[in-house]
Amino acid sequence: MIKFDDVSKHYAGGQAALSRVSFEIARGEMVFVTGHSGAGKSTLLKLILAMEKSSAGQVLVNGSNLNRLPRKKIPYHRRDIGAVFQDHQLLFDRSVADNVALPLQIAGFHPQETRRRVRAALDKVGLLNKEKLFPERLSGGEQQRVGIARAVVNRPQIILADEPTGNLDPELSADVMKVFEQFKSVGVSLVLASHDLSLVKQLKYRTLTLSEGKLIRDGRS
Amino acid sequence: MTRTSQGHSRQKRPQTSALEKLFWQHRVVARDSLQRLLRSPLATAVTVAVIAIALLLPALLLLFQQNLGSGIAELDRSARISVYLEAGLSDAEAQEVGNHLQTWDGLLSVELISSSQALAAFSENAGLGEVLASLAENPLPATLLLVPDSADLQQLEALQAELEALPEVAVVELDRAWIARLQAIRNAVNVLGQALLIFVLLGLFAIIGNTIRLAIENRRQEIRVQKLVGATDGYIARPFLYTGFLLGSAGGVTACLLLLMLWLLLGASSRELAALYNSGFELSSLSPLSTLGLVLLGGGTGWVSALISSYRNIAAIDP
Repeated sequence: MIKFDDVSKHYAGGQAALSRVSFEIARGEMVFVTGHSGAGKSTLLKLILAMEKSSAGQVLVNGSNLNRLPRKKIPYHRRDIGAVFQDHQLLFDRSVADNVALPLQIAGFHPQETRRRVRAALDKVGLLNKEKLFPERLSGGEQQRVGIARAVVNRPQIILADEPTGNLDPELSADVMKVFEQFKSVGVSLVLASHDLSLVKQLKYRTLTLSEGKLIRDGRS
Repeated sequence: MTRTSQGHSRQKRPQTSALEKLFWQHRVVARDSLQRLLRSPLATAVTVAVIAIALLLPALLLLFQQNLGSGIAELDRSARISVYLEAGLSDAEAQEVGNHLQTWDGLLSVELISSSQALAAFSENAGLGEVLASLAENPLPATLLLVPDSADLQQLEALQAELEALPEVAVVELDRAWIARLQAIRNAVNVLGQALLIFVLLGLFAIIGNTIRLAIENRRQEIRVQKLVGATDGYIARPFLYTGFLLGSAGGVTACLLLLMLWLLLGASSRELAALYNSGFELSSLSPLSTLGLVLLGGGTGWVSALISSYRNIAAIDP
């Protein structure tokens, strides 16, 4: 589903965010990416989402080579990916429900179907009672869960999450992980970046450990 | 945390026809664009007013030219040809020439002013009675006043040539200088109107394009997020295209209303003026077709300038 083949990424300043990273993630596989901040976790996610292009090596997602993906095709590539951002990337001028509905509106779903799916997604993250509120009225953890609902609402083939449990207490973290596991069980591939090592260790999933842009460990914790 | 893994397969999406989908998507976007414009009424009103005034200039020239045209046509109907006969002709001979001309095509009326009538009128009007009376012979020729049924300059010139070919005719005076002058003015106004229209369109591109650029700048974060969840540039541009179209159309409608106002204001005084010239001239307003054209011109210009501006500015936002 996702394949990194000897991928390096240098930024204009010269420092290497990723250097010669190779791995493969299968359909229905859930993988953690850990490492200190600045180790290259976010860069890795950005490459999969086609927000950045690799400086060397190939990134293959769902069979297509992102280095050769024309600009016009990028939106369609992103529609197959549900992304949870560390800074949530919510829109503060519209309600929680409208935020979650955004990917469906863009994909052209009928308003009725959109409403049904938005409610289902909000229910999954336990925010159904807050659908009419505006994001600024929500706590950091709640905003994060709105971001998760938005990422899963379009039933993507791939889910990327940057610190998805960063602002959540252990109980909510476990709930969110359950949601991710449900998606894994229906064949969705998940890549979760987290420096919450206790959570990572506890869950016993395959873990990619990055350090200064290099992949130093690939295995079960 | 209910509703778990049911229906994850992509085939279960309800199928609506592409046309239906496009229709309600556009309806939602159009309404949203309108609401956004109405949410900042002052800024919208100023933009619409600027567009309206810009559109008003070429529309006014068009109207001026149109009225000048109908004014010329009105005046043409009272065009005269003066035919001065040879000096030696007697009144009876002059009458004969007049009778002959009555049989010609293309003449509405033929009026004879005999040399004695001309002398009487001349001495009365010019106060030269004594001087003229002292002359042994009447120096004035008989004159035929012709009213042609055509106002076309070429036809009139052909008629003039035919008249001059008659042996009894000394000089044919076609009072065409002013017709030619008016037509030249009309042509100049026409060219001016077209040039102005081009300048106005360029100005509108700048005004609307800049409005759209600012709107995009204000919604930068939203566009970033839209791009991250898979929106195409076309999808993002759609509300801005509606904004441009709505602003332009509203400008067109306002320009039409301003024109109507001017027409009502000027109508009375123009009728007075026409009455002074014994003319049935009526100040004409824009036809319904031209009104529609003006609105569509505004809307179309708004749409095109939004298209150019939004694609450039949206492509520049990279998540």
